[in-house]
Amino acid sequence: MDVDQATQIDLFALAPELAVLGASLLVLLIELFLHGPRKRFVNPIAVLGVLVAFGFVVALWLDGAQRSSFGQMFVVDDYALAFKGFFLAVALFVLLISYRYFSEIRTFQGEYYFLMLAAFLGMMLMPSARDLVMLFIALELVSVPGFIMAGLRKFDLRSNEGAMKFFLFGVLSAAVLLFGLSIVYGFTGTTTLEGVAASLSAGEANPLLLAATLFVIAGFGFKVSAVPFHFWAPDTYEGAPIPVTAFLAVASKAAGFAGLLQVTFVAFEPLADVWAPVLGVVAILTMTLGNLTALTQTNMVRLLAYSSVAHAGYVLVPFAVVQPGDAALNADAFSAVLVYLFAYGAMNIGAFAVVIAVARRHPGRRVSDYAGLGQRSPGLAVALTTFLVSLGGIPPLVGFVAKLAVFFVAVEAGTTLGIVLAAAVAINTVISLVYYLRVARVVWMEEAPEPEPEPVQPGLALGFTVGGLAVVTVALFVLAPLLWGAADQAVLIASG
Amino acid sequence: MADLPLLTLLIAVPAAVAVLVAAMPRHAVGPIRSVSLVGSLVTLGIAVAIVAAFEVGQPGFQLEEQAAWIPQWGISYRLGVDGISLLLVGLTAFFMPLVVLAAWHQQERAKGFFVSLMAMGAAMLGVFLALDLILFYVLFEAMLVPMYALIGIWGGKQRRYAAIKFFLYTLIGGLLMLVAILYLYWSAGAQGFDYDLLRGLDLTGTEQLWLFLAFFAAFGIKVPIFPFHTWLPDAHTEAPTVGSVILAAVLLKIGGYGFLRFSLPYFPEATLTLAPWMLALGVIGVLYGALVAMVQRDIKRLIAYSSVSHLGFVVLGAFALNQTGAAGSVVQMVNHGLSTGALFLLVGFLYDRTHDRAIASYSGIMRATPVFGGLFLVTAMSSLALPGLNGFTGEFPILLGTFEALPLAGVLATLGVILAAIYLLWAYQRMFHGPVEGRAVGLTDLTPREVGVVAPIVVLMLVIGVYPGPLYERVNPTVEALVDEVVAVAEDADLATLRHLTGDAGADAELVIDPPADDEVAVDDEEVSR
Repeated sequence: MDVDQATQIDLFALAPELAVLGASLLVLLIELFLHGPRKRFVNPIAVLGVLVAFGFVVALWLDGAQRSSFGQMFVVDDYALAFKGFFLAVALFVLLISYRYFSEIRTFQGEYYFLMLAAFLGMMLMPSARDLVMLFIALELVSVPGFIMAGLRKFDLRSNEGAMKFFLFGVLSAAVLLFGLSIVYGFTGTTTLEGVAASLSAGEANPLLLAATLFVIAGFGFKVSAVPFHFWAPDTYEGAPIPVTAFLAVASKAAGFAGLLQVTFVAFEPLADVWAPVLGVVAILTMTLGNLTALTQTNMVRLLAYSSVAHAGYVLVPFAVVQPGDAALNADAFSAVLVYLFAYGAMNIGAFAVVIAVARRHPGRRVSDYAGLGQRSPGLAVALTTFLVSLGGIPPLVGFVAKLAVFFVAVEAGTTLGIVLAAAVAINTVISLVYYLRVARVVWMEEAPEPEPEPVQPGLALGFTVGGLAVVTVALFVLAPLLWGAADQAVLIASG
Repeated sequence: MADLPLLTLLIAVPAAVAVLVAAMPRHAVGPIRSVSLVGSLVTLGIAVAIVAAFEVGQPGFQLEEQAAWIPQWGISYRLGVDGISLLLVGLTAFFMPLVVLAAWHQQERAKGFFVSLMAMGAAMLGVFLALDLILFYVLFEAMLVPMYALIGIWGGKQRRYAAIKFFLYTLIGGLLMLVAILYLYWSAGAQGFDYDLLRGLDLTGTEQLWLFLAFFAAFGIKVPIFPFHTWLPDAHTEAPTVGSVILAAVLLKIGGYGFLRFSLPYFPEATLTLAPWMLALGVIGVLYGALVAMVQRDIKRLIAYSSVSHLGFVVLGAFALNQTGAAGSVVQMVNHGLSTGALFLLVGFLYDRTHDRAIASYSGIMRATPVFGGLFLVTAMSSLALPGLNGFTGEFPILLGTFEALPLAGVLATLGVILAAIYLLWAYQRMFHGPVEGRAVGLTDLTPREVGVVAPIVVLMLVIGVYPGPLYERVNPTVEALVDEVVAVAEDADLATLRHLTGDAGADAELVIDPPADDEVAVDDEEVSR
């Protein structure tokens, strides 16, 4: 690779990222000149930036060519575009659910939207990163704004505590990750993912190298809140502003999985014999612990937090069945992860949107606040039930398609571990429905306290998000081929 | 007429009505129930058209419809109806207008009630028609939420407990079945989930055994088979009248249907191996259900346990592995639906008036309300299989078939018929005879609407009781083909595998294989003695 090529920058390939970057700076700047309630108008600017970026993603997709910049560090292919489209859609919904919440809190609006867009910038770099250094930069760009956003409710001790925990765990895992990366580089002499893979399959497995791969995986395990790196999650989720919680539970987690996909399926694929069983055990622990802890929660946000830990466990299942050299199986596993993440994004943001709407009336966020919601706000109640049942994986909702995808590869692998994982997912699904249905029961089968609280008014942006995502949750079940087709298209290993 | 996609319409109409009702304003109770009634009558009309279009004497699937759904994994939308499903579809569609009428005065949250009812209808009809295993699974699980709502929102005191118990029991069985379905898919070379594609796979004995057990988890809980029955009395007792009727008349049939549709043809070897166990579970169900029913103080609980007992007969018929038994078991499903459905309706009418279900609270109802008493008597007689009424036409062939397969099981199951007579007549005597006392004082007789709900069922009971021929004409070809297939496998099977599985398969295999001709038995003996 000559110098010219290495420094060549394809601006079109970078356009979505540049749009988000531009919007984030604009938001920070304009907020300075707005006063009082007008500060909320930075939200539409951020939304606009996201929409423009989305337009560029669509244009790149229509263009169809595989592009790259900065040497081979930054690649735009179907995989990257699928994730970018997903992240931007998530960004749109997160911004929509933030609007009312932050305009009512009236603090740090400019900073919040700037940090949020910066984090999404990191996410968009993540699937394009085909180099360990680039991956690390992207991961940190997602994490660092998260630390601050988690602590934005400065007046609330829980928010401070959550942000502190998040930060300490975050820097620790970043250190572990970097340590692992440096060892990998030392052994393979390269930082590109494909180069690492080639070197690993050629050389012999060294114990230190194996440990290094596990370090790297542990670093991402923190990001996706897999057991035993999940301790920060419930406290941070509970303390953070709810839109930030939705962001952490969906977007940040999906970004972690994007990175993990690239590292495990591409770079460390030759060592899958070692890390896949480890991830299998982690998957079982994660889903079981998440679900069992969620059972006892009385706080709605904590309940969703533990449920999102459990879902990370389900997403890890396809990782655990990867076998070195079996491209067909690995491609199916890869596709299953994508299907699960896309489905999970829709239903989980929806659930958080309803929580935000209800939290305006009931700041305590207790599950018991939802009593009689079916009578007071039937629309929200139907939507919440849809999201929860979908999270439980009951047809005819998209959550079922996601579970099916995971079952599919687990059984396809045909190994004992695969069958055990399938059984674990089945049992965990039953456990999870106990608490999902407990919420549904409170919503529909319990009387509202006297005097009956006012109906919850979600407002336009929230109402649109809740309604739109509820429709998506149903529609993606019927249109499962579309979802699946997109995932199959975006599988990275066929090309890599 | 023949060009219309009748089967799709049959599912789409109630589904569309559910959506329509959901879009109607909450307080428009009148229009909501009218729309529901019209929708259910249209559904019934389509079902009648299907029955008319069904060609008698064909064993295979008819009126098939197919479209790709998730092509990359070969998941398709395939519907079809054969002799077994035709009867159950008819039963389901027949009950839909009746339950709407029975719930006519539902005031409390009527909209959600009718939405759940119609959604249930669509899913239940779909389950019987689906010929793609993923589609089947989807519809199988899609029933859970509306039924959960029906029990949990409109049920009795313990409704929340009963609803979640129902949900989780069914779900865990269903998920194990899903894993088994996926295993079948990969075993079949990952081509698709079509019913016929996954049939007759070359599976080892051990694989068959495990897969059979996974499917058994789903269907055995649904039937329910002892010892997986504990959710049923709770669900039945706590559900509103209409919920109990749907449970009894249709939902429980999915278990029996699943055995005949999937377990038998998919895992013939495992079926043969386990048939004696299944017969034993069936007999236990029959006797246990009857004995527990006898000591119930709550009339609704009594009927719930009588359900456990009567559905034990369905299991017996299915696993007798001869045509008599299997055909009887399909007809028994219809009959049980009619008689138990009617019993739940009648008890519901009584409960609406007095809000008391204790048997001891009533005496002399017959004198107070003769129409109600008379209808109850006919229904009870049908339930205890009095010859001339429908119950007999299903149970008798089952007993014959069971006796042929395993005489001891036949003898014990016959005891169940006697016990049914005891508990039903005893309860009838306590509640309906004697001086008018307790809650029976001042009881008003059935309104024309209520009579109108039960009368069609009673008419069908009499018709089927006198002339069950049309049912058997439609069931027999399908069942015959099914049983022949299983028995043929028994002959071809390497019985060494069976022996390996059971330790001593010789005796078992001999007992369950229906010996149609002497030379075939000889083959079996030869195989066994090898």
